[in-house]
Amino acid sequence: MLLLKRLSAGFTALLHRRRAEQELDDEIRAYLDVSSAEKIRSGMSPEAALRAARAEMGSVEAIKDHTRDVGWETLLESVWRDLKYAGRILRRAPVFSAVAILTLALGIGSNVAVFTLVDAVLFRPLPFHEPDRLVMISESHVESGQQRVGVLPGSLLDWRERGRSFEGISILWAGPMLITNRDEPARIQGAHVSPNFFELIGVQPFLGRTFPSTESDAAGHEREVVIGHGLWQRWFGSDPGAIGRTLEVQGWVHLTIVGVMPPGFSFPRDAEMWGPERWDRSSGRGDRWRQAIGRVRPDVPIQAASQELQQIGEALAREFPDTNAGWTPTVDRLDAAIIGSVRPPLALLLGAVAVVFLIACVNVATLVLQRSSSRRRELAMRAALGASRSRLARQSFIEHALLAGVGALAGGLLAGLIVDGLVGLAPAAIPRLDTVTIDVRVLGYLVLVSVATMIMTGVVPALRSPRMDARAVLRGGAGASPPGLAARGLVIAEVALAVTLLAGAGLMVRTMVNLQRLDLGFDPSGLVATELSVPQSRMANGPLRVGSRPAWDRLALFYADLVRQIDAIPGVEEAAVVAAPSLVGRDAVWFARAGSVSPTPDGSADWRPVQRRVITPAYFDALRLPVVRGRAFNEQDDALEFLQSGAGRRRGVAIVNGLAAQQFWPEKDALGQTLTIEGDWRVDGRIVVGIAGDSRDLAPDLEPQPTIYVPFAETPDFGATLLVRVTRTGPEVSDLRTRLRSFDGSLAIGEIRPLIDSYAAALAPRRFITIILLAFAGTGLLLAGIGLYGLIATSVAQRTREFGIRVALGARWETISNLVLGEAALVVGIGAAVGMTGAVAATGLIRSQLFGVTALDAPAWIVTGVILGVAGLAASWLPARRAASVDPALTLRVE
Amino acid sequence: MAADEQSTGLVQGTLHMLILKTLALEPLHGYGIGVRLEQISKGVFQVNAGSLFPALRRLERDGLIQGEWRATENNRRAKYYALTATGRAKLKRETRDWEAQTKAIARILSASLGEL
Repeated sequence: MLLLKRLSAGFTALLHRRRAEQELDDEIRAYLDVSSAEKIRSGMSPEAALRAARAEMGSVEAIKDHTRDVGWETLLESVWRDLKYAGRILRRAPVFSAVAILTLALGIGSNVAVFTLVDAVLFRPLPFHEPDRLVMISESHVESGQQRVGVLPGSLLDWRERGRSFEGISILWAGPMLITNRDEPARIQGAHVSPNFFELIGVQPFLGRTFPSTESDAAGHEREVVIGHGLWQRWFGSDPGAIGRTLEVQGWVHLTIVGVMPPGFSFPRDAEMWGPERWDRSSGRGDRWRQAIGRVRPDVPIQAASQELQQIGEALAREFPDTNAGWTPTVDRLDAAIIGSVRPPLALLLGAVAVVFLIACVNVATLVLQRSSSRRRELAMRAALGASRSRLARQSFIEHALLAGVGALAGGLLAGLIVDGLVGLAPAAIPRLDTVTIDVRVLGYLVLVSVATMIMTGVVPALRSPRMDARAVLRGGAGASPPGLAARGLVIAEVALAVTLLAGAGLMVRTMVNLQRLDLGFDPSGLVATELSVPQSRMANGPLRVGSRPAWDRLALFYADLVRQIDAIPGVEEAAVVAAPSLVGRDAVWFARAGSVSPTPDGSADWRPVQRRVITPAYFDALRLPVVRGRAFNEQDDALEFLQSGAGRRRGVAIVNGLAAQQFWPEKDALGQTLTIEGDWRVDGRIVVGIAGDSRDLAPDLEPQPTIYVPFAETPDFGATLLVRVTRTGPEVSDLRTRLRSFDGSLAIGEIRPLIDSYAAALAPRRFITIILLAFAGTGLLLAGIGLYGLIATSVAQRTREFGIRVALGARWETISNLVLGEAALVVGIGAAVGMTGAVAATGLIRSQLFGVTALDAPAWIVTGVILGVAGLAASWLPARRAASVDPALTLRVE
Repeated sequence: MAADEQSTGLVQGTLHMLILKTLALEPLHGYGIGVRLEQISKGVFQVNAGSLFPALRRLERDGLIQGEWRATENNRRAKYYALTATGRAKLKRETRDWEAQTKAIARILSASLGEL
């Protein structure tokens, strides 16, 4: 009731402001009238009475102000007045305002931008139903050091039957599918999933249906496929009639499209087709390269589900020693499994941007502090004229909040630009980049950061202003006091924070230099590479079985022909083929052991993980990878000789790298020894005919692995990477493509690009971090420089008189400027010391990103110090010059 | 704003009650209220214009008093304030509360050990 009355009174007053104002004036005049009339009656002269009445009353404006303050509407009005006043004040100090707003925009903009990126990639739940109950299941063999390699489909069936913790478990593996009934053969990233997959993750199709969700119901649905929204748009122009159409895979398998997934759904990574993979007891136990995901029941903690699987795993190891001995299932949260390795670099970014934001806030606080000390006279004057302390504090707060508000607005706009830049710069290895958008969450964060900034920049000076003795300031004459401990402390903090960023950027630059200079063991420059796939139908008339000999041999001859034709192009030095997947990125791990055919009696203990490269003879030449002893492969190791060797398996050949030789035969000469690769179905052991150099062919930052090379002709693959070393005047990429196309129309040809690009891509995450850290360090340094300049300039302005006297007494200008530079050096020195301590303490954040340097890398620190010194000198040079050029006659006369 | 309580030396919030009480006797203008308060309190409370005007404004806002422009005894115009019905009820309530409180406070202040 009362509230209503106050509200309506407020509105009335707002509407009839002039009348209310008029009435207040009248009433005050009446008060004075009556008051002086009273005094006249008691014997005063009219003039004296009026004077006395006025004196008794005090400041009319102050009374009016306080009376107006009674209503809420006047608060609105006066806030508006304060805002307008603040706007004028800020416009009157354009340099201060611009620097402060720019600083805030940089701090807030970069902060919000990085949050946007990190939020989309790390923080947002996966776009599935109750994603926190989804897990990735893998199996590990502790004894041989195989971590999370995949699951045995047979074990998966056992987990389903015996486990109580899971609502469902699905096979999940991704691989390219070669589609052959398009204009050109196309490779589409596909996923093979158990029929229950879609029900398990809880995603409905956009169009059509998915698969019946049990293995038995799904019988007869093996030739169905669900496609992604993007593929549906590209290939079928978003035509709903795509349902029921057929996709031909590998030239003979025909899959019917039954459903289209919603936009944005591409799980597992980049998948655009999903086909059912039924697995039941009749399929056997299988082998261990597929992955699995599961959904844990709502009432079961993931930890308990993991323990249950491990218990089942122990039982399985006893029941199926051949396939399960030593293998333990591991359960990881799905989001952790997907995000995994990008968490440390993104955490580093988040930390770095937090530092930038802090520097920005500190910088603005420094500026505000310096300014408020030079505005003390103005504030004192206003206090003397009757402004209450709360009123002055409010004015100060509004001024700085306005500053922060404008800064936040600019920061928000800047964030949009930075986000675009970040996404453009971000390596493709970061998942979920396509979901990065500025949305309500981000705007909420922007508001949060802005409010925090307003409070930080507004509250501190607002609290300071009332603690001022107006009389002392007005009498004191001097406009400002020298920078106090607070101002110095803030600039020291800025320098310290900037040093941590500088050091981080320095370490990353060193890392990049190390990686660029690294000897890969081969020379990727001048090589172009492309992924090729040939449909199975090209080699055989029916489904290919392991051991269907003629088809494999045709395949080997096909690629041998292809290599020969490419080799004949003028400008091509060497051409070679290596079976996919391989190079750049982690290849599937193979297992090998020393010795020949018959397994050792004690089982699998001496199998060692190795990399396997299946290559044509020119591979070593093309890569400039030296064969240090023995020989490279030749045509005789290849298909023709093999074809002629007649029935049965025979002894094959292999080339090992130095690491493999050392691993398998530490005390013997590897040349001439025999080794066996697991699952090597075409040969009975291999004789080592050559020893090659070690190379970092997976990625520059991955240590060379024990590697075994085997001839492509003997173990061919339908998918292969073609490597072509071209001369400077060699064929254009388009020529190569035309040649390949005319060689065989059924060939699917990937992007043709320099191999070195792939290695550069492997370094992309680090390059990304390096660039951003450099940008952040630059920003931080600039801001700290501005802070330092402001501090020193203010200090010089305060000491003008002192310098004048010193000069008058004969001080040389070097002495004066050294005095100023000394002050700057002290601030920078303390800041650097604090910053270095902090940086060393925070190296945990960056350690995982470093390569070939330690956190205490001397060159990086020395460069950091030099840059800091130069920046400090640059920031304090001008004030020092000004101090040294003080004219004593002028300065002494000023006062 | 606490400005209207600053210089009177009054307990927070009591100025309003005292104004209401003054007006319960007869309608008065602003200066008159100040003088009356000073008289009744025998000079203990000196209420200046800076405190009086905001208080009057607040009371009028809340509908406890109502102002009316009238001629003074020596023929000048001034705004006379009178208690409204709500104001009267409020004064009665506040007086009762105040008496209860002061009694309680007095008892506490005069308490001796024996009474506890």
